[in-house]
Amino acid sequence: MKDNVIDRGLECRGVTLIHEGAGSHAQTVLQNVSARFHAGCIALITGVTGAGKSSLLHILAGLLRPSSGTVYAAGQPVSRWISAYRDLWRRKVGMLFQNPHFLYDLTALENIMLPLAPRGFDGATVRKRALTLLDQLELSQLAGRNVATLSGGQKQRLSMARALMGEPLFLLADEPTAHQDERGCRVMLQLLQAAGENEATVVIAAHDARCIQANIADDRWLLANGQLKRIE
Amino acid sequence: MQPDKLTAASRIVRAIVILFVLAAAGILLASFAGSPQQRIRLFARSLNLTSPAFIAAGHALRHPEFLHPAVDLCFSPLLGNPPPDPHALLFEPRAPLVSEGLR
Amino acid sequence: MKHPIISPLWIWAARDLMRHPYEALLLVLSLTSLIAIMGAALLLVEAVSHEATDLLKAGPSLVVRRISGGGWVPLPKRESLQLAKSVPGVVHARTRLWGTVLGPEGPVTLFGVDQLEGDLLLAHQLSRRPAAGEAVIGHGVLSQLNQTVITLTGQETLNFKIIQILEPHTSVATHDIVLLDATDAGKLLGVPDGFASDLAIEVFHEEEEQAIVPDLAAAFPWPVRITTRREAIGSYSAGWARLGGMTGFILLPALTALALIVAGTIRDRLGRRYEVGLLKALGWTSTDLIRLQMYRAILLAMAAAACGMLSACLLVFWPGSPWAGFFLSGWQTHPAALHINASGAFWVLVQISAIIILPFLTATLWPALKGVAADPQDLLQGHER
Repeated sequence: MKDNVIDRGLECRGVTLIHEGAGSHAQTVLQNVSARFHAGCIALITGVTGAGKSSLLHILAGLLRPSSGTVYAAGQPVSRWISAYRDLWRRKVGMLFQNPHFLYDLTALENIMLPLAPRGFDGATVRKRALTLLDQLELSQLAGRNVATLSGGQKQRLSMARALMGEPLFLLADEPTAHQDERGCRVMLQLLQAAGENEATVVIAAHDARCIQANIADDRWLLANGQLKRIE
Repeated sequence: MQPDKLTAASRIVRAIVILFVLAAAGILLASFAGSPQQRIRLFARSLNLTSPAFIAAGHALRHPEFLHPAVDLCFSPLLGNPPPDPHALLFEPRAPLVSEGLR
Repeated sequence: MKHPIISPLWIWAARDLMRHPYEALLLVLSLTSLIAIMGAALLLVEAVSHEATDLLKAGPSLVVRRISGGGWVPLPKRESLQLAKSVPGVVHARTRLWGTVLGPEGPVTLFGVDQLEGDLLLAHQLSRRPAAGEAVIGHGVLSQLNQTVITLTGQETLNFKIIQILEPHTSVATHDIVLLDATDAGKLLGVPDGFASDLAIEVFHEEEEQAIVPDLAAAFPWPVRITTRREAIGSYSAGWARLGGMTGFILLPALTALALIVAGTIRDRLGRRYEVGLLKALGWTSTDLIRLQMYRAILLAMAAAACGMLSACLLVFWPGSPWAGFFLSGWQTHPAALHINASGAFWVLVQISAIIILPFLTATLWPALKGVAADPQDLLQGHER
């Protein structure tokens, strides 16, 4: 644990998420979850499929508001902020979705340039950074390819490249090693580790054994029955 | 260098801006270059013309006076000479007639 | 990182258009057609009314005609001029000999040119004054301008040798005019020697036009009809207003098409929830998303406005454009040329912006505003691949 950067991490306090189902049926996904994820550390959340790992990451990333409770980022209650401020704060977040979302009629390179598109940077500079990331993820040869033609593993790595484009302070990765072969898995884990070393707050949700056994996490958490417990 | 389609997009933006500027400049220039109003005015003044020739001769709009209900001022000789005015034959010249709009 | 002068969002907006190129092209074509049709109708009315008013302002302050119970009668030249000049406020008076006779392709306006007028004309447009048996014709008198003889029918039918065709740029004033020697004109119009059609009068001040009318009317021993410049302009304005009303019928189908475009745009934009959700998840703010949508619409509108306005200008101002003549009706030959007026074109562009471009931009903005307030995950929901 790196105490000098502790204030820049993520924290959730008493977060509850209730999914309003059809009719009067409501399902409690997360119940009174409290946890602190430190900057410069990698936290691994495990749990069975459907335990609510993705929902928790979405709440931490500011993509979803909790039914109750608060998410703090660098000490600020970001989940309570109005939409305009949350939009701005989200620029500091890199999100790796379990099922990657893309604009499928754009090329791979264009898709990973998207996070920086509205930030006013010079196009050539953005492109250079995007190509560097593609190279790190061994996707250089696919830069001009349409995303729809890529395999599941390639899409997942592309999603990682896009998450890293904005040099995020908070990197949230949902099943980063799914659909990856051994080499791809290693590359993904190396990049997550590198992000942690660069003082980013990294939270990984996974139930893939390779990810769990890689032993890159500083903190381990188990999500079961809507409750998050730290594994000592 | 940008990826191909983004380069094309950048060219499209430039093309649209240039097209718009050129169209505006073209219309503006044509409005100055193609406006011989001063010369037309001189000509109209020298002939003492009172009606523009956008509409063919004989059309009601060609002669503003033609619209006035009290006066038939179609100067066509084909209409024949007007009949003599009985007032002018029997009485002293009457007071000048001024159109309704001028009173 | 370097910051470019033009926001890269403009490029991304164009890239967004390229994702559905045929749709974008059709939208531009539809908007262009709308702008061209509406612009042409508005430009035509604006140009005609502007040029007519401008020309009338250059005409005589007052026109005096002698009338009788049966209509118009010629007035004696010398006596009329003396009487008119005796009225205080009249600075200049000239008799005119003119009227309508039948030309080979429809009615023409005949103008008799005497020595004095001939001198004036020489200074401006005419190579020489038409002598007896000669004619100078306007650009719209004949459809075949290589003819050398023109036949005119009035009180008599006479042939005249064409010595000059007036330049097309003067057609605003002279399009259907035939200039003849004063004696020839008198023969055709049935006006005896020493008589004129009417009297053109200039007054010292424009404000005096109206004030001088009663004095002028009283100065003549016969009934007269006096038309002021203001009255003439008013009469024409009423005519142009009617023309403007007719353009309204052209605009109705155009506005229906616009309503369809607006409805289609709204439906298309509302259907892009997934994209909005994804871009928000990637750190795009609501403002960025609205800017992207607006830039996209502005690019389309700029292309359509440029092409549409150019087409409208060509339709109205291209020399001899036949539809304008047909629309105004009455032309058997070439219609008179109109000229672009900068303020008029600008005013039409403002009207086009209000009628077409603004609703289109609003149709883009409204769904954008509606979509961006939601949480990204709600927008992405149900679109996982």
